[in-house]
Amino acid sequence: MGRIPLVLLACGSFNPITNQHMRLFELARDHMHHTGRFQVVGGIVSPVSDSYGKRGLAPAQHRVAMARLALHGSGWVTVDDWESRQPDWTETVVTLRHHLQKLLGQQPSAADLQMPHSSLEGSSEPPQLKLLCGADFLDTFRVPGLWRAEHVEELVGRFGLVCVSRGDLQADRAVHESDTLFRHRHNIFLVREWVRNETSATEIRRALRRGLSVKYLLPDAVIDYVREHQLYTWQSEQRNKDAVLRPLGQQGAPSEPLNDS
Amino acid sequence: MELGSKLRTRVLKLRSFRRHMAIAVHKSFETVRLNFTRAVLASMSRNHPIPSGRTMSRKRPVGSAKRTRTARSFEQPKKTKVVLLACGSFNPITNMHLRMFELARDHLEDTGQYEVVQGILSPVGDGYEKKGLIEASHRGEMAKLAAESSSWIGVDTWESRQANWLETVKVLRHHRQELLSREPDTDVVGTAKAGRKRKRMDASSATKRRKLEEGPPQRSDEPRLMLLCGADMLDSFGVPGLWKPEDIEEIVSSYGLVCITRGGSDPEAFIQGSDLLWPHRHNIHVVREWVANDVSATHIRRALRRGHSVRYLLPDPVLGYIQERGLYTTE
Repeated sequence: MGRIPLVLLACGSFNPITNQHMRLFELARDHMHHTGRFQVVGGIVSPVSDSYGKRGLAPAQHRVAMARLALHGSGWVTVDDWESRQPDWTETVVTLRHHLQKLLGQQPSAADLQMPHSSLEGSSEPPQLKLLCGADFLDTFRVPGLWRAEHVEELVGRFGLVCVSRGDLQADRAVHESDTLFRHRHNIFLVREWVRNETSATEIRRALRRGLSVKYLLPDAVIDYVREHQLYTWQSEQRNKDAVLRPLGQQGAPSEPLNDS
Repeated sequence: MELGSKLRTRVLKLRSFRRHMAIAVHKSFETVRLNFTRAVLASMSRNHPIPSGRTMSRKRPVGSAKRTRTARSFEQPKKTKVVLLACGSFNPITNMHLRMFELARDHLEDTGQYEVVQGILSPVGDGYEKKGLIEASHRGEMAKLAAESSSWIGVDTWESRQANWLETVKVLRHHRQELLSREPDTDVVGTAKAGRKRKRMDASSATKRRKLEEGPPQRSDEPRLMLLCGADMLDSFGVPGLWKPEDIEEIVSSYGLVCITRGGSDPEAFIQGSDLLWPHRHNIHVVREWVANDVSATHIRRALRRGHSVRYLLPDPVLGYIQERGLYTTE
């Protein structure tokens, strides 16, 4: 068949995980499969570590637990807590490298990779790992000091992006306006969901603080977990209020912003 | 028969023991009830997450983020009870349909004037003859599967079982009749969900007792039936010939409308521009959907036709039902 086995990795806060996060995987899988070139064999949710320093970030153990509850019934997406257990924040590229190494170093058996046994059989191509993200992710490349230029290069050159957005050309524009992204446009897959479907975790947390219902926006099991542990309150939203986002602190003086348009 | 003295002593001791046990058990029930009441009173302050009456019931409502219902009924006993009725194709039912109920409930209860006690999904009958409308039996089943995890939303298939299509106002009239003729001590939420009757808490059993003592329920005590809809339905009031003006009048005056906005509509402007609706504007509640979401059943049917995933857009049991029967695979 010659399809390339593909694993999709999503990095993020997952604070908390929502139905929309899980939709990204579904949409991406359909799209990549329909290109005729890929066979999506797995998905990985990789919650960021607590040292990321984002405002209102709930403890990693909870975010991992909620993601596991949410993906309990999924046949192909799993949660990996490696990134969340690292002592310091991990650059996206480092996380990708770790997971690719794990993917390549393993024997393609169903037990190891939690995938259908047949998925890697009959394929002479080595598996690939691509980063799954939303359209706003592409715009973060332009934030001064947030990304190292060489990392962006490695991200889109060596790995590749699967970017899910509405059909509003925001992602297209971001690729067009960056020479680096443009150069690797064949490794950037733009997936469109033509209807608006934006359930942001920020709004979910706000609703939870105010005692409003979020049922049907995230799995019931996750909502129950949030209530049991009283995770999202006014106090919890104050966490990291005055902290500097770790990537900005770590990388010191802002490097050249990717404003090479 | 004469009891030997030893046996008699034993029997007397047993009786005394049982009486003491009965008193102890009664006391412990009283303590439990007292502690619960204290807990509710203590948690009436909004800062305390409250174990609502629902958490004490046998079937814990899944995913309900609301916590102040019991407390509020202590604070302001004179709230209007509301039952929300949603008519539609539900072809198929989606998470967004269910969201409408949640949003409507939050909105109404936030005013402090209402207590939403029940939600009813009423799938339209096959006589509606809309393109792509699958059998009512399927649509009703899927709606039931979707509402399974809700403690207050249920499905009523009366409308779907009628031979001909019914105007919305007739469905409203039918359901209002049902509510009025309901027995005073019937569990309000239980009708559509056989076998899942929740135990009423002490507060509401007190209400029930009071109702029984006072005789047949007063009209003002009865829940108010309101039509739950999307902004597109409100906009459809403006389509010439689609609605009878007297029907619109009846809906917004005798019942009430709870209208959930969608992107691209402006219900307030529409009401402002309608001489028919404007006098009843206080009976038309416009609810802003704060999650930008235009996912519709049409979108889902299209995706299914094309073999695309619709997971997480509708409840898993509904998706399973569709996949098992191969529904929506063709036009």
